[in-house]
Amino acid sequence: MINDLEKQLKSALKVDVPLDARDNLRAKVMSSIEQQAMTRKSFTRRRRFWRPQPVFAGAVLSVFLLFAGTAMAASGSHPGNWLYPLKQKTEEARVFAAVQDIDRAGVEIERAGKRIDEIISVVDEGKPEYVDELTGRYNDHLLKAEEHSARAAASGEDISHLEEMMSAMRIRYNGTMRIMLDKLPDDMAVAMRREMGDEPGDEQSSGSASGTPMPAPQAMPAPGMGGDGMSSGGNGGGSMDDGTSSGGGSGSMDGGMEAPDAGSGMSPDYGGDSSSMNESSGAMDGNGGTMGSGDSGAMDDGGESMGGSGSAVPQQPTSGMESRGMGSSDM
Amino acid sequence: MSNEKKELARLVKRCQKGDLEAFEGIYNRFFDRVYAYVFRQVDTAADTEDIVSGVFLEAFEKIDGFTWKGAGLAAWLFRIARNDVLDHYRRKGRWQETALPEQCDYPADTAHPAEVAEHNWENAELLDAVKHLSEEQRQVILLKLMFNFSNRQIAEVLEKNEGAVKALRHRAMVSLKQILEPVYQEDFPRND
Repeated sequence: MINDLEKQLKSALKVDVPLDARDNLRAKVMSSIEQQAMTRKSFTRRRRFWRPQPVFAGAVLSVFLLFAGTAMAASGSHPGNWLYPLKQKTEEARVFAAVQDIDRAGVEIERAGKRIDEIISVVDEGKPEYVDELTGRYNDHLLKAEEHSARAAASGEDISHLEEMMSAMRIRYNGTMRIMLDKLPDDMAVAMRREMGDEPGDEQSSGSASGTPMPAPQAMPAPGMGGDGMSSGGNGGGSMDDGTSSGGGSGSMDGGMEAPDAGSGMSPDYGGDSSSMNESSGAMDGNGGTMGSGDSGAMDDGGESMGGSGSAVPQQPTSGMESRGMGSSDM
Repeated sequence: MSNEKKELARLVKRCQKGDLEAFEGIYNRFFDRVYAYVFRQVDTAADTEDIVSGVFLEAFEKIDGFTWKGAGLAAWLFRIARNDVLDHYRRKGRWQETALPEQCDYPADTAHPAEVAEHNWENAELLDAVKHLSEEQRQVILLKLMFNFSNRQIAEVLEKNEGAVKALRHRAMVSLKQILEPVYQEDFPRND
């Protein structure tokens, strides 16, 4: 019975689908679907376009963060650290990115400042073997800065601020090295002094010339600087009590100004003092010729009075930078 | 995998890539069955057309989510159709479940199956009897007898297991017999 019932039900349940209904409905359905497909296609395209985006954006962000993090870590590195080459490359990229000579000079001066920081770091960390390399790099940066500045000046740019920056950087370097020499191993310190033409014998003579006690480290000439001016400045500095004014044995105003700070053991960061230095130099321009008794003596105010050893005769600067920034030889 | 299934798989894949012609292929393959299935439940051509078009539109919207893990495209499509029919009745508020009990055995005074088998019911009587089945029993009968769905396919449409489908089918046939018995008795009253 069940089977027969099923057979009869099958027959009864048959539906003859009207052909027109099939066609009409197909047209209606497909039309609706086509409209929907337009939206869906654009959605699909958008989705396909956007779907990988979070992944892509995440990857880009990760790479960026990784790079930024590494670059940040590298910025604090110093020679001997595996990130140091990256730091160098980053700096070189900055130089490359600077289009104009005047900008490149600025970056090179900045790099020179970083080398000074690194010198302090490596010495403090007991790795003086890197000082030589860093000194060389420092010199290279300043030489490049001078080249770029010269080009900028040739093209009519005002490079006075660069000169001031370089001058300040040299002062800072000198001060730093004075302090660092104390911390270097003896043999290295001696070699360094010899390299700088600052032999103990010279100190002796300088000291006697100034007639004042010698500060332990002698002022060292910055690369390309007039050695006389700096060393005499150091002598003068040794005689200063207040550390704000000086009298150079050779009568060099700038040398006289920078020596006291270094001699007094202050942080050798002269970067911000360049203007005051120049002002002092300016004051000396007026007085240097008449001053200079051969004895530095005690000074009240380096900007107003000073002792010089008679080198009031202007000397030819070794470069435009020196003559302006350091003023070590033109007093 | 049969050729038909392979062809359907290709159509679905193309359709999921946005190929409208492929969807038309699916439509052509299933339209008659879906139409008949819906028509048997709502009776009017207008309602059937509305529901069928809705079924295919919904299928198109959801085709991206279709996978071959289940009982196949037909079961997936008929599940949509079933839900749309239910929605149709819910909207109209006139869905009526059958008053017949889910579980019923042959009554003692039931005519012998052989006798019943000899009777040819009118189609109207049979269709009317089907309408008195519970919704799930009716689904089993429609899907089994109209389209020869496997128990697995029916189970997917009803979202039940195959055992439940078997039980539903059995109960549906018993219920139909119960419903049809009085008709038979009226036409051919027993002489005892």
